[in-house]
Amino acid sequence: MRLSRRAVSRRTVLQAAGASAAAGLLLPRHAALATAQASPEPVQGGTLTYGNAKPAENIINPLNTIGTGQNVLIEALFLRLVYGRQWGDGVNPQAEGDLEMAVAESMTEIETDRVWEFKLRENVLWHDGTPVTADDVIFGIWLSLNKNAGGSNETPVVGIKGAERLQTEGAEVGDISVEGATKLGDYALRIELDRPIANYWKSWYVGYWPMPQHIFGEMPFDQLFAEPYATMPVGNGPFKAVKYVDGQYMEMAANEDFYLGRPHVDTFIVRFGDGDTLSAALEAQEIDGTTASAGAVYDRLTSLPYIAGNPVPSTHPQGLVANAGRMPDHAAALNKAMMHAIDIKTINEQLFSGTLRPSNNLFEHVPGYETPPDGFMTYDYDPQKAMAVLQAAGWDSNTELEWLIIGTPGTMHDAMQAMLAAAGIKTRYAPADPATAIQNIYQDSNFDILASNFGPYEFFEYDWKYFKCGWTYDTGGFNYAQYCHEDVDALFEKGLAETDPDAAKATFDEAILLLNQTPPQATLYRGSTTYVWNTRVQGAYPYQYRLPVRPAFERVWIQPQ
Amino acid sequence: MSSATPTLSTTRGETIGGLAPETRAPSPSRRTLRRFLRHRLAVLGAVILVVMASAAIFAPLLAPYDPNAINLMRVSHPPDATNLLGTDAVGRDTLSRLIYGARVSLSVGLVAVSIYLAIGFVLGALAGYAGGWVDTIIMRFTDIMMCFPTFVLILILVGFVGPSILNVMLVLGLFGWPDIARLVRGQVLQLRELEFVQAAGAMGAGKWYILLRHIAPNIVGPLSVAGSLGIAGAILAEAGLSFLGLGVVQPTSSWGSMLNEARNPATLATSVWLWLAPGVAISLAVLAANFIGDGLRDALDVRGRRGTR
Amino acid sequence: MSPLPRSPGSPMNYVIRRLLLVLPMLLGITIITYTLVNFAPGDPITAMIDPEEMNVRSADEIEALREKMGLNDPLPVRYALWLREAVQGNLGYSYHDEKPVLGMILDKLPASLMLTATSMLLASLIGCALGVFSALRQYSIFDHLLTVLAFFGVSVPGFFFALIGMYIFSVRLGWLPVFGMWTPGEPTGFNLDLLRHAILPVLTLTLPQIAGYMRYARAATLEALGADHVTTARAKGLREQVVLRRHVLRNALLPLVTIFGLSLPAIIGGSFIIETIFSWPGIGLLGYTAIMQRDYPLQLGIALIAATAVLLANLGTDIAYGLVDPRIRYE
Repeated sequence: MRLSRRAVSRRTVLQAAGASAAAGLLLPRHAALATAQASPEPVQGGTLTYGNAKPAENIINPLNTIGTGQNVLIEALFLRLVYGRQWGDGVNPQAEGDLEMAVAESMTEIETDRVWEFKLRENVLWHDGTPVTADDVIFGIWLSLNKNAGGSNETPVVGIKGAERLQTEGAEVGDISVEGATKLGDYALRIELDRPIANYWKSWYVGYWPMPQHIFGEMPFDQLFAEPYATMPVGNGPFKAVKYVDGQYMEMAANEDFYLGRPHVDTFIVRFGDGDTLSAALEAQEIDGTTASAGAVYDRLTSLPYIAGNPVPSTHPQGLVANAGRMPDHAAALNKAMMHAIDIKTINEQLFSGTLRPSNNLFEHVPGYETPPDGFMTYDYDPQKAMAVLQAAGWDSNTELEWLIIGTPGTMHDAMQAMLAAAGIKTRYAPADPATAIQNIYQDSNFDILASNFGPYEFFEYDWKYFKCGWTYDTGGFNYAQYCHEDVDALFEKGLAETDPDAAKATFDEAILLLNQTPPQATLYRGSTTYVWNTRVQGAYPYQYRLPVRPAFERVWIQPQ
Repeated sequence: MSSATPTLSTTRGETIGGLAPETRAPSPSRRTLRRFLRHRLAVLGAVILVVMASAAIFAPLLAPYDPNAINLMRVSHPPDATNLLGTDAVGRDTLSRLIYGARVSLSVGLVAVSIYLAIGFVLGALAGYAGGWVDTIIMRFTDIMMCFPTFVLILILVGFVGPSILNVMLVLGLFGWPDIARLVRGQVLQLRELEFVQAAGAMGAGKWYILLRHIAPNIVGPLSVAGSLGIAGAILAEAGLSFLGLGVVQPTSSWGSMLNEARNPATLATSVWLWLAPGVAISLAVLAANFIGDGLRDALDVRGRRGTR
Repeated sequence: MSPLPRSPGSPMNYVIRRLLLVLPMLLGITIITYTLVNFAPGDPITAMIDPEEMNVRSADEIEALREKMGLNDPLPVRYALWLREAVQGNLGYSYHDEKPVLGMILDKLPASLMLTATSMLLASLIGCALGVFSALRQYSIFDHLLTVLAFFGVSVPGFFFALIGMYIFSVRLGWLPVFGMWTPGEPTGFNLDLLRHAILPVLTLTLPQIAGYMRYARAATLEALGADHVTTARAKGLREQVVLRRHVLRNALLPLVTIFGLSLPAIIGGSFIIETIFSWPGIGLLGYTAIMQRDYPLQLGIALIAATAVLLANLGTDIAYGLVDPRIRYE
């Protein structure tokens, strides 16, 4: 099937890849959770200051997301229709992954994985006081899909009926209609997909962001992402924009009318800076929280009495990938050998204080597929086996592989490189800045090997993009390793068309085993994002990029000193 | 030297005192050496650089370990008997990396400076000797190049060609020449008016012969001053490039890339051994090159007499 | 600037002649920038056309546009066309932000100007004061100490001062803010808060520059002290103070005006690193981001603007020097 291709624009894909690669380097050490010291009674007032990368553009709008810097702002200012998961212990996401209703008060499944009816809350308001209605939801869907609107959206509306037309032909200002979104009343609507998609609402990538029709409804498209709303957006989230200083910070005030009640803190400030500067600022208590990079930095910060660490597991299946386009005869053997060659357990213990979760399973993050089917092989650390695999495949151990690096290599790369060398796989770093590297990866497949992840998508449609034969960038896929296994593709096609969940599961299990035998990626581990908080921050709901969970910023409160 | 890299030659080749080459002394080179040796700091500088260069040359013999060998069981280990300068984030021996790093840092300095000395010499000599429109064009071009912030151009160009030892050397070498060209031109202009050069001309010696035979040797002095200051600048520039992630590519170590460990306050405070040694090495090398340049300047009397005596 | 042939006539003529020379220099700067533009990987058309326009055009249309814009013409013609745009203020569009490059640079100019101008001023004042002092007490302990410090100052990479400074004064002692231009939530504008935030970036940008001024001022003062007219003045029995002020310092320090402009490129280079470390939203941070994002039009726009700034600074200092220095005769 064709999932919204245009919506995932080139740059968002590129940025997404860059971010996930970067996330792979940001790995934590277990530490006391910030909430451990939480006293039961939240205190009202105070300011929460969070340190974050600068937004790539001065446009804070969920329909125009380039880069990752603005996502934390979007999460504080805007509210989706529903979220894929709820918070579990208050800091980490709930394992079961029940949906969290947000703008929607309830939803009813009319047809399995395809048609739903939503009842909206009547007390969710735009920051100017106007209620959020079914019209706003439909308008948001329409804007997100409309080619003419010129949005560039990482969390698009995918698979909805009528998407294709809006994406290819577009629609004029005022001509607001989406085939698959029907208004049933001011606070009720029906969503209908082209075809069933399992786990549809559980994915972070499926963004149903209502947009204020009373503001943008009649506005020419070229003004949608322009000032004054670009940096002073009228949202519907727990915080309201107060002041945006380019390259410096965004100041936000508690939204008195937030449907879950007024946030505990009066002010939420997000300051922009580079990672090293932000960790200095955290140590100097100039900011209350940020993410810190793995190893020494995180250890040092969490060793301070006033800083607590909070690693939040992420879903990306991380590992290395060999380019089958360049080495059609050896890529699968290399992928297997690399899994055997790398001692991920030692790397985890020595460099990442046990915050990685070693795993060869590509689909651990897909609901219903957390445990692999019977007969699934694990590729344990065994350099001898790695050499044997390579020898059997006729690999010339004098070959030096070009290892494309996004940015500069980190400790993970250095450790892996030495371990690969020990197993007879010679590599040479080819570092490139993110923009070039990402073009080299996604568009040009210009690499021998690469530290990659095959996407944290909660549904198989998107996961397939990484290994379906020929589904390369120009046709909307991400198969940069140019993997091709026709039997796998046949099973995926069959599984996706299957309406009976059990039959679908059996089909996908079969495909998973095939992928396990001829791996498209040397999947090694899943990481964590490492948050560091000043201990005065209580109930620190971490914002985690790409986790289908809403960070409940309204529940954070500041312990008076 | 490049504008991004502060050296003591702030006058960018235009010395206030102008030049007064020693022409009357019976044995200028010996006297120069004597003066140089009397300049204690310069001798110290020379000793430091010789030691560093030997370390670089004999790195495989001196380094206790393979500089790129990781040891995950000894990560960020403080100095002890096994690793005299401790280990880095993946357990590589800091001392070995420091010794091997000398190769990169010193050769970047040497090669880059040689390249731009050569370019500067050719352009400067051409301008000074040919005169006329050739001179005008070359010197205007030099003026224009001097308007560009060198470090910025270096960053941009390294961005174009990608970071590697060779590229860093070439790019640094490409932009340091304007000062040299001016310096050489100034010297040529003065020298060619001197009697022995005029005499050679009168005796029918060709222009280029005169340039190479009579003028070039007299420019060696000022050039060596500029060169040693330039090496200092190039080493600093490499450190700056490494800091911005545009320097030498891992796992190859350079002092600049090792110093970057100090980027984060955590390492700055807790793993002093990671950045202190490369930091001292860079400063010492730069200091040594500056001392030598200063000593040479005095010895060769490039800037005229040092104040009133 | 290379020494100009002194022009005949009045100071005004000198200024005019000097101004006339600026035009060919500017032209030269654009030629070099354009040569770099052509070195940059990628298609120049994407750099020159408003990306909004680009999206709605077909390949044929773009080819036609390319023809119309002369991008299929030989290099000199292309340069002329580029120059025509540049003169009108179109330095192209940023690849990344899709905004006009010139506007982006001008937006960041005030923040950068504040850093660079302050640190140039500080470096020259401190450097000159120390240099003169050092010269007046030649071979004293103070003189030696300053010489050693100067060597030390130029031997440490500038960013290292920044890191150490940030660690000691911000993280450890908590006297100064770690980063940014203003405390969030406080009023923005030119205020005390801004000055507090500027202290560390300005100082770390200033430190490596001081030594140069100091050495220069020392040498120039020593030279002036030995000059004939100073000896004469002393012989005439003028008070030492007066001799120093009228004959020594005036002659020694006036030429310093000219290095003022010459030190600008180094400060601009340094600001790339310092602004990045302190998240100071100026041209240096913009330029660093542009390099990291391979935003070629923005990079070259910055190079062009920086070179022009240096040219104009040199022009300004030359003219100022020409006007104030009594020794320049206009023949």
